Amino acid sequence: MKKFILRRLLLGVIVMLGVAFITFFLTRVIPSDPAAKWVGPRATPEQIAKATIDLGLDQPLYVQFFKYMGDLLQGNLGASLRTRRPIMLELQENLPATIELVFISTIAAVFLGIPLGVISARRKDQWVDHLSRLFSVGVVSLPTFWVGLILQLLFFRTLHLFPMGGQLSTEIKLTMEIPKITGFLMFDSLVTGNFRIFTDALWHIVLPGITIGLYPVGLVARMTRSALLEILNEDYITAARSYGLSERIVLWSYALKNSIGSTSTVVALSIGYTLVNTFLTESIFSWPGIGSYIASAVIGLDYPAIMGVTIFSAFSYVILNLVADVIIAMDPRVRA
Amino acid sequence: MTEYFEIKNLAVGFHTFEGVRDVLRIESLRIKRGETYGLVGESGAGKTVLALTILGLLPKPAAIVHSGEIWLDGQDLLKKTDRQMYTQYRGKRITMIFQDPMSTLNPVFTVGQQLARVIEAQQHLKGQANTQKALEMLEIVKLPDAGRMLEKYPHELSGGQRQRIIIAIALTCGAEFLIADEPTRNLDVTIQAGILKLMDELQQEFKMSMLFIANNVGLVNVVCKNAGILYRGKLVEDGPSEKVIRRARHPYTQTLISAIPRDKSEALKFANTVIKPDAEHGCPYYARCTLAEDACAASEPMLEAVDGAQKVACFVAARRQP
Ligand SMILES: Nc1ncnc2c1ncn2[C@@H]1O[C@H](COP(=O)(O)OP(=O)(O)O)[C@@H](O)[C@H]1O
Ligand SMILES: [Mg+2]
Repeated sequence: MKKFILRRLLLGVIVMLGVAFITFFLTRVIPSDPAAKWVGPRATPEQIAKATIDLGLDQPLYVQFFKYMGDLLQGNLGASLRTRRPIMLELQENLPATIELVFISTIAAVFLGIPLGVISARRKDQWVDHLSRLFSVGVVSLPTFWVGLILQLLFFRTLHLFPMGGQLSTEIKLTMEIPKITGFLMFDSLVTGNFRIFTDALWHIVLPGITIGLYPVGLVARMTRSALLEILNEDYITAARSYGLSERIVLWSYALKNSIGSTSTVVALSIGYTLVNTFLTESIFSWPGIGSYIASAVIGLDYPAIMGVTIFSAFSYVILNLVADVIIAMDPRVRA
Repeated sequence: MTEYFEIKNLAVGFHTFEGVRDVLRIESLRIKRGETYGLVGESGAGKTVLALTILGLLPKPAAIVHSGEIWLDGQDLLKKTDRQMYTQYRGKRITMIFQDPMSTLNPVFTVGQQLARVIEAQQHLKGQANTQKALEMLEIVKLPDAGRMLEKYPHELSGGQRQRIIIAIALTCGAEFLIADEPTRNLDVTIQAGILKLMDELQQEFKMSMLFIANNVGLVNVVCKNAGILYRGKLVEDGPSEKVIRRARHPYTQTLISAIPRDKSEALKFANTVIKPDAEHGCPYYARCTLAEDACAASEPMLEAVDGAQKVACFVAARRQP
């Protein structure tokens, strides 16, 4: 088990190095002049030349790379070309809003997707199963931006039920003091007892939450269903029934625990997908997270910021996969 | 009046890509209370399907029970809903030992967890009393070092150990009717004998009635009072196991018995049996039968008493006196 995790960690480190390497060189191929960006649109040629030296852009590429990697190992992602602030700091500011979205969609994937898959497998080819499959295939194939726009159209424009975007109403933002402890708005407002802010935030997260959560729920439901269908044919399931064990135990414990490998992998996968998907969803709902951040970084050709987000995403992927692997490794069959 | 356990005109089929395929047609099969009945048949004969039919656990919707009655203590099990089978029969009055000890235990739970679940469901014991019962059961099936055994996962055990665990779990239910589906088939010969002896002792001790399924006639004589021979879903011979084995009437039973080779020439004797095409409406054994007549291809023989309690479904055998 320890050896297995160690091996996985090593693999993760290699993947990270590869990603760092590729992003570094990719961003250098982009036709833009970082030094000019750094000093602003009205800079003189002298100022640009000085910035080129300051930023180390006059050095050979491999020197730049090793300096970059050295900084990276210390957790330094460099400074944004647009704001001149450390990327790390900007990521930290934008991360909580994204994590709130990812958290909601993961909760939905686990607590809606898995049960949906289980029920669907249990009632194979009955109407519940047909509906759930239709739902799964539907949400997995619908493009996120389309879902987001339709939800806005329906629930904001037509029904006036939910706000169109943002994390809080303007009125609240202007009139109330927003608590900042962890940076997680809903958490902070809840622990400080600011229920007005909390409910307002809750109201705002509904539409982006649904937009981003549909895909993981559908994906997890589908995978759980197919994993379970196979397991329900196993002898030990028939045997469990022959001992008079209840369908509740047979399904939710005996069968589901055997599917933990495939379900946790797909949950981890869908979290990774959600992270990527925040790009669109956050833009549509003006959600102040990593997705909006990278969208503006790309438009502004702010390559340190782009690299920072890329490295961060890769890092999350590696961690998620590691977690899934560890869960799978806890299966006694693998452990042997 | 029906017997304690009695099957009447049971017909079971499966939906396949080529339409419905019939796999079981049993006219009659009876087991007295407290008795062990041996059912023998080659692989694919329909033995496991019969066991699952009794428990109401046939795969849905692939399997169809066309017709028939399965009586247990005055109740027709085929008339019961799945809910009734669950609340009143499975694990309560009927339980089963499955044929493959490698796949019958849940791989991701320890032996202790699996025993505990069944003990809780059927004996309603929790906590300390539950564990106590589990240890007791492991001792009954003669597994040493019960305490440590409870902590183990199935893959850490040998085939023989697993089968003993499976027997322990089945017995824990405290059911009165036990179906043992080839309990020794996948075990080494040396271990088989131990398991058979154990099952025989336990059947006496727990006063259970038992349907003992085997793919080897040799086993049946040891454990069972009565026995039946299943061929392609049809019971072709039935009676006291001693008669069925010593004085087999049906050509198939005879083949089965002499298939236990005593020397080389005998082992090869059946290698050159002529294979004829199947007779669609005739005897299911027609294609392989060396005694077959025209009548055998025309209609299907029914079980007929030949010698007291011994019955055979064969036109030729029924005519011949021993
Ligand atoms: N789920 C199923 N679908 C279709 N056919 C099946 C199914 N289960 C069993 N059968 C068929 O039923 C017949 C009897 O099988 P089985 O009862 O397992 O034989 P055995 O006597 O070896 O236990 C076989 O021909 C098998 O192909
Ligand atoms: Mg079988």
